This record gives sequence, structure tokens and C-alpha cells, in this order.
Amino acid sequence: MYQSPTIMRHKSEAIRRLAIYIAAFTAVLFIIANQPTSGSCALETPSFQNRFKIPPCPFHSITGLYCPGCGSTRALGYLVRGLLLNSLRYNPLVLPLIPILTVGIILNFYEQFTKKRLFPSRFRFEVSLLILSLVLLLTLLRNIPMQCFDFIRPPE
Amino acid sequence: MTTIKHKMMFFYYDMNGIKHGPFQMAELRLLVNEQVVTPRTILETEDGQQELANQFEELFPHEQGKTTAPDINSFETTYCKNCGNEIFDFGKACTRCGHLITSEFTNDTQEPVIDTCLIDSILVTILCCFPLGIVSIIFSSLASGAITRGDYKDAAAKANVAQTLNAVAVILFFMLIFVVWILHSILANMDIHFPIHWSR
Repeated sequence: MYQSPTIMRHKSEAIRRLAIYIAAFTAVLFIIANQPTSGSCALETPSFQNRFKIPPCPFHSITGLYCPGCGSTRALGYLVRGLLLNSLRYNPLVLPLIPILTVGIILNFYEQFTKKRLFPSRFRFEVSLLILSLVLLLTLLRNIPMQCFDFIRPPE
Repeated sequence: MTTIKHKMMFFYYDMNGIKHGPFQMAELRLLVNEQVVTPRTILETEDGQQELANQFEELFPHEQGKTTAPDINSFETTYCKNCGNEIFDFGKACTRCGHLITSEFTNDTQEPVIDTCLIDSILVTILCCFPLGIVSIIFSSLASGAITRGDYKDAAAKANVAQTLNAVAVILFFMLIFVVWILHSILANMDIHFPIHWSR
């Protein structure tokens, strides 16, 4: 029988999910933090480009448009090195979303283990609407073909 | 566990509390097959003892040793009162027949915890496939709206859509990125750069 996966996962499944999150997080951190840090712009140096090529965004490669996630790998790379302004320059969503995602993941697992809600649902609805509007606004602004919006596009 | 004398007659109470019977054990077994008698049905013996049907080994051989009143904080299975379907979670409604679970064992005032997949959707939008991620964020916010209304069935359905979209997006992303990565390297070697940029 098909089981509804979103209502109250089994404990073992919740643990597996947590393991997947942690594994993905450590893998991303490992790849990004292991890159050479020579020069002001480590991710852009030719030595880096030759050693390891971060795959390009498929959406950007195919359509030429910028997605809200474009530049997020480089933004994470700068964030790991503590260059917050560079991180914001490449993708303004990564830095503000990290605390939201961390709190959200912890809340999710708290709920799945104790089966109690900490915050009312209305709060969640507003948060999801806020994030949706932020993402849509960023996508819209990035794809306006005008010079004055270059600041929000990731540099090549 | 109740010991049963043979040729004993039984009565059962249906969902509305109406007493049916008397039946013999063999007849009750037929009723179990037709899902009229479920593990949660209350049976009454001739001498007036009331028991849940899952306590009878003759009717439900696999149900032995299960708790009669499941603890809300445990992951034991429960059964829908209407159709006998196994319910693995303490949602508000049975997944098969939609019968509202308002038994004495579930706490009605407690809001069921439905994961609206918002975090997964954000991660998919930022790290993977953008168009599908947006759609799944929309679906997860619809799900939280449905929770606000109190429509938990609708919320679960919408959250399921969001989760399925996320899974599809991740699979599509890995397929696409493989193809694009290879194409990108081949074309870059041939000095062809195929992404078109607005600024140029």
C-alpha cells in the first residue's frame, strides 16, 4: 500500500534523512574547502579551473538565463573562507538562507521525534511565502537585460 | 488473550455502537474476510465480556501481543475503525477511506505534524533544478495554508506533491548536469561557448 511519506515519518526514516542531510553538507563543505586559496579569487584561478571544474548550472547553460541558484557554489566557497561581501555579490540568497535552513532542519527533526509543534502553522505559511517572494524577486531582477542590474548577476 | 470455548456465540458492535449477533466463530471469520469485523471492533461474548477483536487468536493470528491502547508517542500501528486499514501515522484521516480518526486512543486536540517539505524545496531551488523547485515551494506553501485552515488531508496531499516534485527535480538535475558537463567540456575544447548572456 502506498504510504503517505509527509505525515510523521518512521523514526528510522527520519534518522536516514538526517544522515543524508549531514552527508551532503559535509561533501559540499569538503569539496569547497579543499580548493587552493591562492590569490584573491581562489575559485576563479586557472589552477583551480584545471584541477577541478565545478559543473555549470544546467539551466543557465541551456537557456542563458540566470536562475536564483546561479553563483551559489561560489558564494558558499567565499562564505567558507569568511568573505561575506563576496558571498553576497555572487548569490545574495545563500547567506540569509543558511540560518533559516538550519533552524528549519532542527525544527523538522524535533517535530518528527516528539510529534509536537513548536510554532503555529501560520508562522510557517508566512515564512514560506516570504522565501517564495524573495526567490521570485531575485529571478526577476537577475534576468532584466539592463546594465543597472549587473550587480545582482554573478560575475562570469 | 482470551480462551474460547467452542460453540460459543459472539456479538459485535459496529462503528455506530449497534450490537449485531449472535455469531459463531466461523461466521465471524467470514466477517473478518469481508472487513466488517476489524482488529479494532469490540466483540462481546455470551457472558457479557467485552474484548477488542484483535485479542482473539482465531480471528487475527498476527495481531497477538500488540497493545490494546497505542501510546501516542510510540510508533505502533493502529487500525482505521471504518475499514480496518493499517494507519502508520497519527494523522486525522485514514489514508484509504478518509474516515476521520476520532477514537479514544488519538488525542483530537493535537495538531498532526505534517512535513510541508519547505526546506527540501528551498534546497532544490537554490542547489538544483530551478523551475521545479519554485513549483514545489508553491505547493509546500499551499500545504501550510491548508494546515492553517485545518484541512490536514489536503495538506498531506499537497506536501506529497511537493516531495515528489523535489525527487523528480533532483533526479533530473543529476541527469542534466552529467550531459551538460560533458557537452560543456567538449565544446570548450573546440572553443565554442554555448551559453548566451544577456550582457553580451
